[in-house]
Amino acid sequence: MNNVEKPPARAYWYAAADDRLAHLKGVSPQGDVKYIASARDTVDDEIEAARLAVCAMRTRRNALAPISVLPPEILARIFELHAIDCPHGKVDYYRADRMNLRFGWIASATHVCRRWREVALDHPRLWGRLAFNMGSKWVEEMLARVKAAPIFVSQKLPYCSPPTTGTVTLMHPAIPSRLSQVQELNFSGYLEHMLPLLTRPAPMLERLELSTDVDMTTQVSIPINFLDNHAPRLREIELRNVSHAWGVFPSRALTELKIAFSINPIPTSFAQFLDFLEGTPTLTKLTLECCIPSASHFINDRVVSLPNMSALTLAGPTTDVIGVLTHISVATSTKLGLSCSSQDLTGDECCNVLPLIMAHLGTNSSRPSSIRMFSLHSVDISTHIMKACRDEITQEGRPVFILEEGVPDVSLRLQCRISTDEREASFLHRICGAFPLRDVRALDVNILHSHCPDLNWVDMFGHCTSLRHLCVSYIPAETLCVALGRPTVEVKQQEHGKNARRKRRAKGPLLFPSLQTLYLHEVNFEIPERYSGDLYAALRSSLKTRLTRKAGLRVLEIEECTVDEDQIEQFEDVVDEVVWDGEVGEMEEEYEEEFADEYYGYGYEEDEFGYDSEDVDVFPW
Amino acid sequence: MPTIVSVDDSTVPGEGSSRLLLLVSSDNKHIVVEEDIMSRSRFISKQVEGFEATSQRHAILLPFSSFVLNKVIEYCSHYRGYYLLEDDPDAAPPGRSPVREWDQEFLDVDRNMLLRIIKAAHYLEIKSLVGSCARAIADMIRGKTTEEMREILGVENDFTPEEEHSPSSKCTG
Repeated sequence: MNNVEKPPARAYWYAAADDRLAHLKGVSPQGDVKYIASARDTVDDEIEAARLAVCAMRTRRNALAPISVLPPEILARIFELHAIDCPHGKVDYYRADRMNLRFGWIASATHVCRRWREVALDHPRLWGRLAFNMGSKWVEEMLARVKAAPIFVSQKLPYCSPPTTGTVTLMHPAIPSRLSQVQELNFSGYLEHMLPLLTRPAPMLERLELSTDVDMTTQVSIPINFLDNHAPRLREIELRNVSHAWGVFPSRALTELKIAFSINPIPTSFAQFLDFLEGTPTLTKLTLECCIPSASHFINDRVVSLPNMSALTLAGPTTDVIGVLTHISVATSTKLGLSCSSQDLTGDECCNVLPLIMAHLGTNSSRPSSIRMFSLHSVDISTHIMKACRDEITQEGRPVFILEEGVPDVSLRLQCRISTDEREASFLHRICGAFPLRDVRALDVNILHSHCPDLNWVDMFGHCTSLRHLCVSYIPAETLCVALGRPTVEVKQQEHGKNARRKRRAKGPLLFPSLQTLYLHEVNFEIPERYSGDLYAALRSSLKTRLTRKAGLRVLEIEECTVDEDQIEQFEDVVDEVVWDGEVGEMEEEYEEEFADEYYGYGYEEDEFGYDSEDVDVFPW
Repeated sequence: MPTIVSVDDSTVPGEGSSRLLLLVSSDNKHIVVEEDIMSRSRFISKQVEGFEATSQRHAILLPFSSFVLNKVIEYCSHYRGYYLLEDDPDAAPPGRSPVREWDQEFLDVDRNMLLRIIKAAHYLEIKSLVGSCARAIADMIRGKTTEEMREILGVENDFTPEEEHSPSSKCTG
């Protein structure tokens, strides 16, 4: 630090200003207009220069701030994370801060101070995500700033066919020439004229996503020389309504492949599909939606082993799904997501997939069942979803039903043209009978359509003797309320002694003897859909029976049911804990009318101006 | 370059399986630490390799205070023997990953201390700690306006009016 004594800053700057403007002392408002204008310009110049000097002093001050100790590369790393949090290029015309939204991190990081701006502008990695919706000038600026750093291209092209003589820009002209540094390529829209331009190698490309409009009459194909057949780092491909040959993918190290709605016009065979799988052993995730190669003419017992596959998702006709499952071998840990559709009225064809799933779950062996959670969800009379999970997933002690959370080990969606309740009941019995449910811990039965058949709980789930948590919705809950208190089998015992001639029914085992938690959802206790008696009394009686037989419930949770507060209180006598959402269902209006006065009528406290304290919109002045 | 001073054998105890290092902070505090603990630091590892080449033992002088150094040692001790992806020189630069729970508590310090730790971690080439600190600072500025950022980080607007009014003066020309 320089120890030379300096004059006080204020005095110094006043003196400097006086000195700089000393030659204007003779100029007065009464003088010549020409001289006054010249003097004013001179003062303006001095003010401007002083402003710049202030900026320079602020820069000097900023250099002393703690954040300035960070070297540029660390600051740039922080900006990289900030850019992920607040990406640029977002559009929302209805938001007041739409400009900030559009510029994202650029607006914040480059506007704090000069140093931040310099660091941000000179860090190429920050500029790799090209934002086409910010205009071509910005794209060019970003391409200039990104230098040799990775580029991420995500562009929505027009979905319509370009006019033959038009000048529609389909793709930024610089993209094909910069393919060598593109790390992600995502194009959606009209691709027919664009794909043939991408013929240079893409050695840095890791992810490719191409999609066109599903309704387009002509389908776009990936050309043979796509990316010069050289994209060695390509790991993920996602195609939607884009056709392809199985040998066209420019990488042999794919880990994820997702293809949807691709009607493949390129002559291919099931054998070529198997060749592709065999030549891509790195594949961990495969999804084929409505584009499964047909194995109907493939008469061969060839089976391709895919030991690295962690998730296999197939959606299409049941025969095609079965065709693929028959000719591949995956680890037992692979998560299967299957969606099978068929035209038959009985569901027989759909059920043909069950043995393959059971084989995958290892239920053909003598080992104990591995399924711990099972969910049965009927969307409508002809669409049923089953999900099975090997782990019992709980959150804060409550089971997380696999419908919403996580990926189940097996997800099976069956769609067939079942048209009657009886057929549906038989269909559901077959499915539940096929799944190894004896060791299941959590069960979710969710049938929310009015054609729901009356489930025979004992027949369908009677062997779930280890069940702890049960979640049931709507009509199936009505039969459950009764079944919970009845023995699963009735045992006739011969009495000895003085009652030797009498036979009586002994108590057989209860349904779900280990049940701890019951979740009831959308059950109408007041006017049941199917049950002719008092449903509330039936459930209470069942719970009481369980209590006396030392199989009482710990928790009864009631959501969106038609039930009243008194009934809830009485449930508390027969279970340890009742959790109720407070909904009274259809009785709610009546309830509100009864207590309306309490909320809206007399006696409600008003303030000195005659307004209640909640009324904040109206003031007395 | 760090200053390396020769030390007497008696200064650095231990010659067994877990070797000891002597680290000297800028406030001249001598801190003895097991080499294993500091192996996460590429800077220290390189220094140790240098010692082995000359078969001499040295103290390593570091340009930050003992308070900061102790924090870094605490971090390295916690993750002793753990593989952290961010410290793998062959791994790609990580994207947005959540801060580990322990790191969150560890970095629950005032802003100046956080900045000192990240600077020390950068000097010592501990990429995982740099990453966690950077994440913590990025979280600090997330959702903030430019003015709020200036206030949080103690910097002033030093742009000229022309510079300020363009989103990026160089970008918009």
